[in-house]
Amino acid sequence: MSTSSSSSKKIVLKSADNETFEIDEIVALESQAIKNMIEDECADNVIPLGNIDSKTLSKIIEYCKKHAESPKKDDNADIDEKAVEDLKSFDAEFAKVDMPLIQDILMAANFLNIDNLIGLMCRTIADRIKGKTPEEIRKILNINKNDLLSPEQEAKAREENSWAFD
Amino acid sequence: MFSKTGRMIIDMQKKRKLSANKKLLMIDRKKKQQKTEHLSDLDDRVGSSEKTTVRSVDDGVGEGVKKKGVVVNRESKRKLSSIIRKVIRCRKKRKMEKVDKMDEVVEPIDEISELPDLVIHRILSFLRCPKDVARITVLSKRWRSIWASFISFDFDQKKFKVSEGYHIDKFITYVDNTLANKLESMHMIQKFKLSMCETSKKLNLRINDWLSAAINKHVRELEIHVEEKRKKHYLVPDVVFTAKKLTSLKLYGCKFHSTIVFDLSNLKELSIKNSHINGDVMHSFILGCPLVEDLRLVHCAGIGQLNISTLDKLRTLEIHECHGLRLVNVNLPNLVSFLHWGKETWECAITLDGCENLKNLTLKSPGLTDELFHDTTTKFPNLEKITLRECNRLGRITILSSKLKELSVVKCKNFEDVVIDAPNLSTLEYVGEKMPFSLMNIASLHEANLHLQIRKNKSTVTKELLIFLQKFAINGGWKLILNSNKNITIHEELTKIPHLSYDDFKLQLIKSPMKVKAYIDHLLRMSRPKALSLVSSSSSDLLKFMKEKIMSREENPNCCTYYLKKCWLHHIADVKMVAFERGDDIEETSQKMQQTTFIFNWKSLNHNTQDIPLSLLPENERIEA
Repeated sequence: MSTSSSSSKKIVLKSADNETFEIDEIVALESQAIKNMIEDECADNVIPLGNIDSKTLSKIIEYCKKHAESPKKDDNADIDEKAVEDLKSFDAEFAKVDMPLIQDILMAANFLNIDNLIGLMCRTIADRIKGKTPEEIRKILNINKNDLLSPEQEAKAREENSWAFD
Repeated sequence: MFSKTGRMIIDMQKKRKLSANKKLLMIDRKKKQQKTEHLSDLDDRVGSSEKTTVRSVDDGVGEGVKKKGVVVNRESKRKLSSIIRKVIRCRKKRKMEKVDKMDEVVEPIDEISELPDLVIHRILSFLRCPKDVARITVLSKRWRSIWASFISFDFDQKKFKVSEGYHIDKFITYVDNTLANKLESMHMIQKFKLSMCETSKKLNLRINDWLSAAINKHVRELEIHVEEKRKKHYLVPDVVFTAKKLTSLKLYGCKFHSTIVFDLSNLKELSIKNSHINGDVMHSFILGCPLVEDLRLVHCAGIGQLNISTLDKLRTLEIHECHGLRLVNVNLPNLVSFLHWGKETWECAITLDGCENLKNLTLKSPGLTDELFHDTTTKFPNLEKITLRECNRLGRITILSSKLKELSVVKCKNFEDVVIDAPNLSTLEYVGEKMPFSLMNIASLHEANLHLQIRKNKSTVTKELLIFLQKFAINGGWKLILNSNKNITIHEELTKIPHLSYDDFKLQLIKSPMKVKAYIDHLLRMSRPKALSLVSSSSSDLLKFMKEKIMSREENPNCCTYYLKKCWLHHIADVKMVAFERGDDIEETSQKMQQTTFIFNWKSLNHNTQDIPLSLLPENERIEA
C-alpha cells in the first residue's frame, strides 16, 4: 500500500529459494490460509513457504497488493465503477504470462487459499484451451503421458461424444 | 516452525497420503504447543480436514462461522487441508531445485492434474461451449474422471441445517447459482440428485424448474429424495415421466398424478420408495418403461395387485414391505432375481409362473403357501439361491434341483416335511426349532450354519441332528464349531459327534481351514465368549494360530492402529489356557486328540473366570493348568 505507515504491521514471507518478502499485514490477509494462521496466533514473524518459488511469490504479492488496495464490494454498495474497471484490466494484464507460471500461480493460490486468484487462473486456463483439440490441450497443460486412455477407451469416448470432435 | 516442516516434506517426496497425515500431525502439534490450550483430539482434526474443505467450498454456507481459537473451527480445518495439499506439491519443488542446481531444462511436470477436483471443476465451468467440455473426456484418465464428476450434480439440503430445521432460501440460492454457472457449458448431465429434508411451496416450485432444466440437458440418472418428518410427499412433475434419455430413475418420498402417461423408453432402472402408488399409476409405469431391467418398490403403499408380464428385459424385481399388496403375479421369462419381503401380518399371494430363468429367490412372505414350490424342477430349472424367512405357512415342500447352490431357511415355523435334493448345494443356513434336513445329500456342501432353538420334542430333534451330523463325520475333512451360552468349542477334525445337551445353540460346519480362522475371528469380535476350546491334534495348525494370536497380543498391539474401534485382542484383560488330552477319542484315531481351552476375561464386561461351567473341563484327566 502506498500509504502504509511504519505503524502498520508487517509480515515476512520466505520463498522456497530463501528470498524474503516484507509485506503489510493487510496484503497478506488476502490469503485465507495466512489469515487463519495470524488469527490463530500461530504465525511467526517469518512465514516460510517451502513450496513457492520467489518468481511465483512475487507475482502473487503483486496481485494481493492490488486487490488489497481496491475497495471491497461489500464495503460500499455504490463502488467506484472506475475502480472495478481498473481492477479488471489489472487482472487481464496480470494473466498475460506463460502457462508454466500460470500453473505455478494456481497451485500456490490454491495452497494459500486466495479465492479470487484461483478463479482468475482457472479462467485463464479455460481461455487457453477453448476450441483446441485434445492433442493441443495435452500439450498446453502438459498432461501426464502415463495417464492417457488406452486407444480403445479413447476411440469409445470419441465415438460417444462424436459431435464434439467435428 | 514451518521451515523445518518444509524441509521434511522435501525429504519425503515420494511418500504420499500416509506420511502427509503424519506431517500434518507434527505441524498441528507444534502449533498446539504454542497455544498451550485446546488439546483436543488430533486424529479427529486430521481425519476430517480434507472432507470439510470439500464441503465448505461446496455448500457456501458455514463460511463465516469463525470462532477464534475454537478447535473444530471450519476455517482452521480449511487451513489444515491446504497444508495437506502442500505435500502434493513436492514434485514441483523437485523440478525447481533441479533447474536451480543444474541449470538445465527438465521436462515440465503435469501439475494441474494434481489439483483438487473442485479447482479443475472451476476451470471446466469457464468453458462455455459444451464441445470444449466434452473434449475433456479424452485428455487422460484423471481428466475423464473429473469430467464425470463435473457433469453430475448432488444437492443435499442436509448441508443447510440450521438450529431448527433447514435453510430453504439458502439452499435455493445455492442450487440456482450452481446450475447457472455450470449448465450452460453442458451438453448432457450424467446424474442429477436432489435430497430434501424440509420442503415448502416455494421450494417445490424451484425443484420443478431444476428438474426441467436437468431434463432439457438430457439427464441420464435422476434421483429425488424427500425425507420429511411430516411426511408431506413431493408431487413429481409430469415432465419427468417423459424424459426419454433417462436410464435410471429413483424417487423417494414422492407422489404422482394418478393420470400420468409414462414414456421412459430408455429407462433401465426404476426404484420407488416411501411413496403412495395406486394400481393405475403402477400399471402406467409398467407400460411406459418397456426396457426396464431393475425394478424396486420399497415401502410403497396402495398398489394392491401387481401383475407384470410385459417387461421382457426385467432381470431384478424387489418388493420390500409394500403395505396393502395382496397379490404379486409375475410371468417374465428373463427374470433372474425376485425378492418379496413382507411383514408378519400381511398376506400376499405370489405366483411366479413362466419365470424359467429365475436364479435367486428371496421371500419373507408369511402368506406364502406350499404351492409356489410345487414342481420346482420344471418351474424354476435354473434356481441357484433360495432364501426363505418367516414363511410361516410353508409346511411340506420339495426342492429338487441340480443347480441349487445356496439355501437359507430362517424361522419358518411350520417347516414340517421338507425334502431337499440338491446334489450341488454348497452352503446351507438354517434357523429353527426342528431339524428338517436329516436326509439331505451333503456331497457338495462347503459350509453349513445351523442355529437350533429347541422348544419341544427335544429327543426327536436331537436324534435328527445327530443323523445329519453323522454324515459330516463320515464324509471327513469337516470342522465343527459349536457355540452355546458363551462357550465356543471347535472340533478341528470331526470324527466323533460331541455330546449335545443344549436347547439353544449354533453349529457351524466348515471345510476350509482359512474360513475357520475367519469365522473364529468373527465370533470373538461379535460375542465375547467366556471360553473357547479347541479339540485338535497337538500338531494342529489352528491351535498354533490361536496361541500365537492370543499370546502375542501384548508385544504385538500394532494391529488396528488406524482404527478407532479396536479388534477383540485389545479387549482381553487376561486369558488362561488349559490343555488336556481327550481320553474319549484315543481308541478311534491314531493320533491323540487334545483339548485346549482359552478362558477369557474381557476388559469391559468383567467376567469372572470362576464362572466357567465345569462341563467344559474334563471329568478326569487334567494334565496342566
